[in-house]
Amino acid sequence: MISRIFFKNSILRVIAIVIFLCGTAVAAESVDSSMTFRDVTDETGITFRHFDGSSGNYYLIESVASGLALFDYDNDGDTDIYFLNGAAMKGTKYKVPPRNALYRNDGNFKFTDVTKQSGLGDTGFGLGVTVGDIDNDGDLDLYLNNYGPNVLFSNNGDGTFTDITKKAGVGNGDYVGAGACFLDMDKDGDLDLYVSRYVIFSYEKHIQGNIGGFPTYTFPTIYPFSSDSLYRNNGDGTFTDVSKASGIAKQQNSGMGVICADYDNDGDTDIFVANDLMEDYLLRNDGKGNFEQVGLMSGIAYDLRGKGLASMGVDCADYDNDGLLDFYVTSYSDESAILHRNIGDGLFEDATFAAGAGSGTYNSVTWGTGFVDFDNDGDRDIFVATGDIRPSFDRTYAARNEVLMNTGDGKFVNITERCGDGLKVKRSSRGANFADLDNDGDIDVVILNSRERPTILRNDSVNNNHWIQIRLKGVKTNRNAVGARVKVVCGDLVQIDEVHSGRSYQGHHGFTLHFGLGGHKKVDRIEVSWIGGGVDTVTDIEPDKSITIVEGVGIEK
Amino acid sequence: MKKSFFILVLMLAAVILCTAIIIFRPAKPLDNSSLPFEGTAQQQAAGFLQEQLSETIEQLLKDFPGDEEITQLAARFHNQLNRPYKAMALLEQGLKYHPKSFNLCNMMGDTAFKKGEYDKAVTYWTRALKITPREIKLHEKIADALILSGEYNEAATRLEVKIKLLSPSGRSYYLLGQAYFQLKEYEKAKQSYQKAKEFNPENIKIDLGLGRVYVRLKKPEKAKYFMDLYRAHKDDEIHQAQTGKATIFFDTSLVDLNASSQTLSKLCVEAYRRYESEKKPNAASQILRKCEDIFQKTIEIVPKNSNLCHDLAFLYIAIGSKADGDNVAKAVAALQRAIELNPESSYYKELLDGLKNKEKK
Repeated sequence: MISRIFFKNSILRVIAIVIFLCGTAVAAESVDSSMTFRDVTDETGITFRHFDGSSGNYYLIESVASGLALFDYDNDGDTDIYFLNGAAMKGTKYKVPPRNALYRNDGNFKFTDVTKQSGLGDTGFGLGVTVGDIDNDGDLDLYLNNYGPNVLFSNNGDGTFTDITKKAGVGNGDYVGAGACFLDMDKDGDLDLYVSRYVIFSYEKHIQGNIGGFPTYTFPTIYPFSSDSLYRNNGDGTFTDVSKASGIAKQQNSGMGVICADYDNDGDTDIFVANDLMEDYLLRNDGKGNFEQVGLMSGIAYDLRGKGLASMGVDCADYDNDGLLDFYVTSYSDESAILHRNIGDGLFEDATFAAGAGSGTYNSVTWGTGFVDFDNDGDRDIFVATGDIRPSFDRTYAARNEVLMNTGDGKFVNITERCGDGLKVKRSSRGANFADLDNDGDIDVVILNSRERPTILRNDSVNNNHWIQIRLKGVKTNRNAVGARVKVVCGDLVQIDEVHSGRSYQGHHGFTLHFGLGGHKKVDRIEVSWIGGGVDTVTDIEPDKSITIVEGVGIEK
Repeated sequence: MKKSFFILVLMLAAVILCTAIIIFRPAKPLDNSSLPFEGTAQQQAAGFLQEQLSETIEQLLKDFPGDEEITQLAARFHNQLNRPYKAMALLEQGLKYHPKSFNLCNMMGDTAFKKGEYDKAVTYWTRALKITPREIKLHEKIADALILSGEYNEAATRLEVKIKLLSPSGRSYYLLGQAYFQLKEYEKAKQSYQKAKEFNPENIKIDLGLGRVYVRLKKPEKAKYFMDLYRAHKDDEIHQAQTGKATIFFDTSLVDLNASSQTLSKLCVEAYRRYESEKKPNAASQILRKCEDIFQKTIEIVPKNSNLCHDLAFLYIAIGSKADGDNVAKAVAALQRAIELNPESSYYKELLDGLKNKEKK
């Protein structure tokens, strides 16, 4: 009898265990990763290698290099890649000085090095870059925010560029550069320029740190800070430094990533500056190009605990589709990257923990980032480029990048493990920017790795979701519609986005806006609010294609 | 024939000689002459000591697997050196042997929290609280971790109960303010921060909390007042750093060195006692000699570090004069050296006087 009960119980026990295991497996599968990234770097023909100028002396500047830009330099309809490079610091010698590199997209993930013929092989110490059409002539110009003199390259429209820094007056002295953005701050139809600066570095003040038995870089706060710069476009190829008049020069900060966006939906472009080890700045525009720093009052300056994070990169988008732009800021190790949820009235809350948006970002330094709808399901996921600045006992210099999937209910799940071989690559990444490199309707990733070759990730996600890509052409307003707001309506799915120049970690991408539409087979309405105030609406658009909307005209035929 | 016999004998002799050399060779002394660490003498000493201590810990945990005291000391050492994963692995091992150890659970919670693993921290602190319910501060730690996990309601409930039934404190009220703020219950958040301020008027984080609450309550002037207080403090921190007045740990080697030295001393005493209680006098002597040797080698690298001499003296004092020679005399010598290096320390002098008196008696 006893043995029978025992036997019976054993069977019941086994059944229970099997049911439990099945249940666990089902539960684990219920959050479905629908993203796959393949590392296609070796197939692209890209041979660029990044140098940080290091000599073993641990000069701070080395650790923060560099960003990259994704833009269509030759107006042929696909996105090209521009990598920044470092330069020799004291004690380092290179036989051939490192230089920036431009790769032309030839389609099908094949790229050709066109640096020499384009004239973009700058050999300054490249830290930040942004892109915009400063003269509204229909091609994209480039601004480099270097350690040392900055450079403005004007696009000649034939695949070559000319250095017009001196004439334009935007050399910005001999500072340590960081992020930069073009924006139309005064809504006059041309692009002005915001230039962030990191610290006032000097070899005399340099100290090599040592933490836990490992040599390391010292804190940026041992160096003095300076104020960022703002240049007004005069419309004649020259710029005027309006840093003081605009209120920008009131603050002195340790700027890194920058993004310009209309966070308060008042129709003008504001500026967010990610600062290293101090409060982040939110510079509110009064609509005329005068700025007030409202980071603290808006709730975006610090994390929930009041800590000024070592902020690095930044992106903004409406991750919860409530019509307000939210911000995601990357930071140092042993602190989470932070999600600032826009709650309206110009206020933000730290939603990192409630949304699970810090997952996987605590153990390494985080850099480039983007709100991107990788699986075209109608909400923005998050990509985070990671990499330490030094090896230590528990960590290595190289690290794995992270992907957080938006579950559609205001939360994120870290799905890095299930994203394919592309997310198994371990490097010390810095810049990360996003574009549909093969024009197949999903967004791919380009990552600049410190001291290494870059990583190119092809988005191979398989799903039945629809999408639409929108390019804007300003007529009265600036040519690439920087600052314009787009609303895409598909039934009950309403999404917004904005055209930004300069984002992520001191880099640029995104003149083509990409919207995942989920299962929606038609776009009911697209509304474009141009930065000058006009609104264009187009209706009933077939999905799964790229369209261009011209200001005052509608869809370009 | 003779020739090949001679060669065979020669070969045999060579084999015997080699075997004898291998068997009877003296124990390899610790060698710090070719340190793998670059940097200043202090950084080298810290590196050397850390490496030796790590090896000693491994050895002791093999001899005394799961030992609570040794595990704690080892985990603390790894935590001090910012090696939380190593610390967590040791604690996990220790908890297999001592599942009801408050200290191990508590330390595990602390370490997990430090690494941003808030769920794990809550689990282990809750376990510690079950073992020792009188440790009411654990409620605050758990609430803090709950807030950082986005579990604001649970945190608020726990803190309300703790404040009403156990004991109110500034930290409890501050955390309650944080939880209510995230729950958008701004009046309650304000009241909690105000209570916290009564306990800790100097805590500037409460000022930030109040500033944030007043923003949400649409009282901009009050908000600005508190925000300005917070910003002034933060600006001052940066100014102190930029003018070289702040203590920035850009070089932790001295802190690391001192922490490692203290751990080595305590660990050696614990190990010595255990070997003795297990009637293994040779092993006890060996560990003492090994630690002595590590101390001496480290002192050779940084001869002016008085802490090392003090920790060596502590080791001798704690073990006392037993079969291992005159440890009291050795302790006196080490303390005298510490006093030579740091004549200002009244603590060293008192310790030395006490030791001499004990010796006389």
